Amino acid sequence: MTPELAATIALMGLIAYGCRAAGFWAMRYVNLTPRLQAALGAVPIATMVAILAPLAMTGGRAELAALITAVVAMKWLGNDLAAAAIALGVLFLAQAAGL
Amino acid sequence: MTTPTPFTMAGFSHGLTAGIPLAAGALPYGIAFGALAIQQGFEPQTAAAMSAIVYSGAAQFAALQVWSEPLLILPVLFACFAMNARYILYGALLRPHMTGLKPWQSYPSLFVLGDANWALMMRDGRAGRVDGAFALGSGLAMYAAWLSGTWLGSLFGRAASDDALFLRFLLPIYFATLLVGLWRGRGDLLPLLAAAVTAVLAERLLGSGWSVVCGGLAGMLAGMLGYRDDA
Repeated sequence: MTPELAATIALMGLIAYGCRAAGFWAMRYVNLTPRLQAALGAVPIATMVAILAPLAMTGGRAELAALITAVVAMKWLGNDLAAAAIALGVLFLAQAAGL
Repeated sequence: MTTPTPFTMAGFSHGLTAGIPLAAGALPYGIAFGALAIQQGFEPQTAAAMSAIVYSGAAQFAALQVWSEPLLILPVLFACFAMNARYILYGALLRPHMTGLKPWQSYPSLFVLGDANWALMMRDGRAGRVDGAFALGSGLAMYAAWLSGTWLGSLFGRAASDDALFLRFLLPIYFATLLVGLWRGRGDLLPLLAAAVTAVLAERLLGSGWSVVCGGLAGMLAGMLGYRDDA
């Protein structure tokens, strides 16, 4: 490993951890008003959807079917492992069927 | 909100258990990264070092994409920031669920924070049964999988990566099941739609790192607009 490469990896690590720690640290100095709480409360579901929406748009029909199955199965069964297993099965079958 | 968050051995092992399916999802990503890194001319130990030190799937894949000979450091670092900017938001949201923890408890936990275990912390935090050590346990399970995946991928290269490709969709599937637990009611509909539309647009216009950040911020704005003082 060249020194340049080692330095790049170290800096990447610093940036990655910096992002993880910065928001947490900064909240020491932020007063959580009810309005801010309402705003922040919407972030978890918003970010999960933001990860999934582009995937659903660019993925094939098999991937889309698997994502929808995961949500529906989770609602019915209330068990994330079972829902994920069923959705993975749907993905496998749909891909095998050439969707 | 003022009661201190516990940080117990039970929470840690609960995190490890909950982290097993997440680890199963992270492993194929790690294999794919290891295989790709070797193709880019990395040595196995360099790929492993990057996974151990950076521990950020999206950032590491993006880095490989902009990697060049001779190495241009700035584009790599910028890609790394773009892919990790969402964690600034994640960390901020984690604070209320990790109150009163010692820095030696919270800051190492943040190192192994990922999308999946963060979302689990948010879900459990809302239900009022959160343990700070859960993040560390589930994070370490995923970290171990990411590291061993990288190592396997760098050893077996292309073949392992193709076999693992199918399982790479396990994490998105898991995120989809998490949506159900994170859903709080009709008030979430507007943030959800705002995030989806914004993320798709941002993905097209700005690239994949910013789609999660922009989607999250759009959801935050929508949540703020939906807030009523009397409610």
